[in-house]
Amino acid sequence: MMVDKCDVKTWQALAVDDDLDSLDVIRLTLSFHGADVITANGGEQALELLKTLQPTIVFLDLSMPGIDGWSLLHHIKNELELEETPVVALTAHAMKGDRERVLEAGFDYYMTKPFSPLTFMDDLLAMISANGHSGVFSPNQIQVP
Amino acid sequence: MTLFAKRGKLPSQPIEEAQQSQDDGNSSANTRDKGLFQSAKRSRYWASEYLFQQNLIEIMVKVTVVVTPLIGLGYLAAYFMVDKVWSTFVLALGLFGLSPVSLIALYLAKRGGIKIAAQIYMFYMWLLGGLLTLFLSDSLILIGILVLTLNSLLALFIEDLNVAVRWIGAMILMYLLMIVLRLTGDFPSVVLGFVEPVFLFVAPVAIFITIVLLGNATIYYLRSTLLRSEELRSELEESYAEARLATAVAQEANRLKSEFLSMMSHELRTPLNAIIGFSEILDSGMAGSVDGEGKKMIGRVIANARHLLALINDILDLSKIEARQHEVIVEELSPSDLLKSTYDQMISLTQSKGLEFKLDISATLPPLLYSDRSVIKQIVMNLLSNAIKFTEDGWVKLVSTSDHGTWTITVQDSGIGIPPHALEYIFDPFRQVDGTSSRKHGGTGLGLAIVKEYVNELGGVINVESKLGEGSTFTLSFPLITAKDQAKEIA
Repeated sequence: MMVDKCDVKTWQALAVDDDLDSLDVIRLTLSFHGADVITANGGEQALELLKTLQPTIVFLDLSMPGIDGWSLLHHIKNELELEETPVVALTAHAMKGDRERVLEAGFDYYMTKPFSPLTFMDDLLAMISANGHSGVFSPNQIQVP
Repeated sequence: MTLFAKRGKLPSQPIEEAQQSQDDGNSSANTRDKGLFQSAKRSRYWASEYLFQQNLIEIMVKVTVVVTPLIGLGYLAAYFMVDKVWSTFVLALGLFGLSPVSLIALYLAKRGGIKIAAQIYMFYMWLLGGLLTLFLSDSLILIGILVLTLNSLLALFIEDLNVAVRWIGAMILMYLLMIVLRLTGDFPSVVLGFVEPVFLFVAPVAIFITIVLLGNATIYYLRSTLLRSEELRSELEESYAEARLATAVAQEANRLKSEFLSMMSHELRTPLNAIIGFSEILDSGMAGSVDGEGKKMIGRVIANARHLLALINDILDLSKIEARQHEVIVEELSPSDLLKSTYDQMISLTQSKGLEFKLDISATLPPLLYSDRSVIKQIVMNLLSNAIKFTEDGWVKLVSTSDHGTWTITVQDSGIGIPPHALEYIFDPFRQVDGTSSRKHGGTGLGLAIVKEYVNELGGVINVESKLGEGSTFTLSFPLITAKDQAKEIA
């Protein structure tokens, strides 16, 4: 079943951050647009969730104690058979060169903190359209209600 | 040694300075560069001194090659005057042998084996002295030569080069003395006949002292030259090592600085994310509605948080330039396209304030030149946004022209102007014309400081002229580099 990739209401998003405030901001922003949001407070919790969960899209903070965003990305892309799942780096690393570093590591999208909840979704969807991710990333991973 | 006393006092602690800059966070890039510069200067100094010494050795070799046959000629002359048959062999040895042996000895000394060189030289002298004593059997002087030779050899073997060199000098002068005596015929017997007792005790001592002193003057100079060149070589190597260390230390300090900047950026942005995020969610009603005074206050929280974010960005920009983390990327660009696109980006701001916005690009401007696209854009945008900010009605003008190798960009406005006393400090960080100005007109107070740093980076100059109530003119002058200049530079 094909689903419009820009239809946020069909998303089951996983957001990972060690900072609870940041986690709440992204959760509120995504769920305002109708996405189903699951949050993980840190890399270990995210790995636990990913054993059973097949999210539509993943939002990863990069610098976290323990398992950080970089190693989570590695797990997602290489070990969990979720290589088709788009992963967004949502990070406060916003210096020159960070974008290149993030995209080179294999993240699909790069967004910086602080972000504006008002424009966040427009920016993300614009990037997704421009990138031409096929389907809603991959139809078989979508749980359509 | 006095010959080298002219050497000036050298900067002596590049390493300490470099280490200091690592310990001391406040120590600026200047100190680091000074350390590097000084050790580079030391290296250059030692290198030139070393070459100078090498040239001196060359000269010494040449002089020896010329002088030693002359000594041999002296022997020959002595032979003809006293007519001793066996001396032919010895004199021939002196004539043909000394020169090559000195040459070999000096060559070895130059290659760093001064001791071996001296030993070979000594051995030859010893042989010569011995043969002379045997076949010429000429009074005390020849015995003296033998004794001196043996003493020199002994000194060399007990490794006291200093003493050995004096003995060698003494011995060579003895030889010269012998030549003089032979040339003057029966001079020794005349002297001996008159003052034999005095001569026997005093003359050898006097001769010996004279010889030692003269030996010092001649041979010591040769030796010090050779040793000096050794010393110079090691000093040269040492100062290269120092320079390498200073560079490594500076690079490490730079890396730490850059790491600190990026960490600070990350740590400041994280709480701001929560502040901006939650207030915008509240303000937009995404999570329930807030009305009246509360909504106004949230608006103010958002405005201040955004101001703080702009400040953080500007401070990081400024620190990056100051820490030399910012990289200038010079490429070929079309100045008119660049200014046109900047103009297009700013035009909505002028329209919303009802200002006239003029763009005037001179026909003399070359179609292509070399500069840093993003830096020029940032500079012009900062100046334009200032001009628009401080102009309530009237016009803002962006003008660009070029002549005599200078590329000029002018940003002019008909705004409130800058009072004369403020012109001195408007490029300082956080200094707007007065305290209230910053609050009234917004902005971080870092715009012009960043402009100034960027202009410096590109090797340009910024000038400002202003009249209160009539407007301000900021003039940027950059060296004009066209494709032709670039080609010349590469060639």
